[in-house]
Amino acid sequence: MFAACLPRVLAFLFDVSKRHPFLLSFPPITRALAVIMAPLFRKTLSQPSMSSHQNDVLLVPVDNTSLSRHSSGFGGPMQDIEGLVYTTEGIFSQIIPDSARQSTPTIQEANNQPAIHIPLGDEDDDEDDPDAEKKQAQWLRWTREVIPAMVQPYLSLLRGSGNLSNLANVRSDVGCSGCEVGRWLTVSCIYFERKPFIIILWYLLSYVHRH
Amino acid sequence: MCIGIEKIVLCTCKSPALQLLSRGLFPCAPLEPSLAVDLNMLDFVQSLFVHAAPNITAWCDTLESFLSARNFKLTTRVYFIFCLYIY
Repeated sequence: MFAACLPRVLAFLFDVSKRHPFLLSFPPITRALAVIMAPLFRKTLSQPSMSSHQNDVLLVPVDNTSLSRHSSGFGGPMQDIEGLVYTTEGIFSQIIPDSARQSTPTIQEANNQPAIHIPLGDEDDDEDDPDAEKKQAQWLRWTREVIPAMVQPYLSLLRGSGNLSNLANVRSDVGCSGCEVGRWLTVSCIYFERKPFIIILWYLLSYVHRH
Repeated sequence: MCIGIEKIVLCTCKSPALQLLSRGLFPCAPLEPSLAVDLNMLDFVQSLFVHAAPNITAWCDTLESFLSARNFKLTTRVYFIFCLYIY
């Protein structure tokens, strides 16, 4: 009976909503529509949805993960395949239990290769690379020390510069003007938007530094 | 958009990488960076490589020739690639 009347009801509702679209902005009406239209959508997923597995996905400290991933330019096993999550509390690896995995093959199964390798363009073969250990140490340092230390300043920078839309304010901050603890370091910077007053400022600074 | 190279002077009393980052620049090395790249440029290249076929060599050649025509010499091309890769 309900199924027979449903097309007419829907046609009526469609007509009303077309004439008076503001009615759809009232929550009671939208809720009632959702209840009426729910039977129209049949359930096609026989397996549980991904949302039911969200609680099964674990974040574990990166030191506790199994080793199966290569770092760039290095052939040895380094890190698990799951993505890294950088937080102020440390680095975590996202582990998806086997029960929550879909039937789609993993990257290793699909490529039949145990490694993720993104070439930098300057290496020919990882196996013969004499700098493999150096690259490994470099990769470890960046992933475990440098990038986590940069997360908080980066978020502060995004907030302070309006999502990088106004970097003039942050660049006017010259920082330490010289102390006995540190030493001077000259850095070449490639700017996307070069502001004249910044150039003048840096020329002045380098002039003071030289004399 | 105006691309250019400037040399800046930093004091190493604080982490140079964090000092550069706080100024909107991404360092090529944590302790003694010789090159830093504007975050906006890295964002732009990242977005470009999402919408077009990624080609780091072509991008670097373009940047190098663009800067060269304006009397800027990009001598640390490898470091630029590294910045792009890490970012």
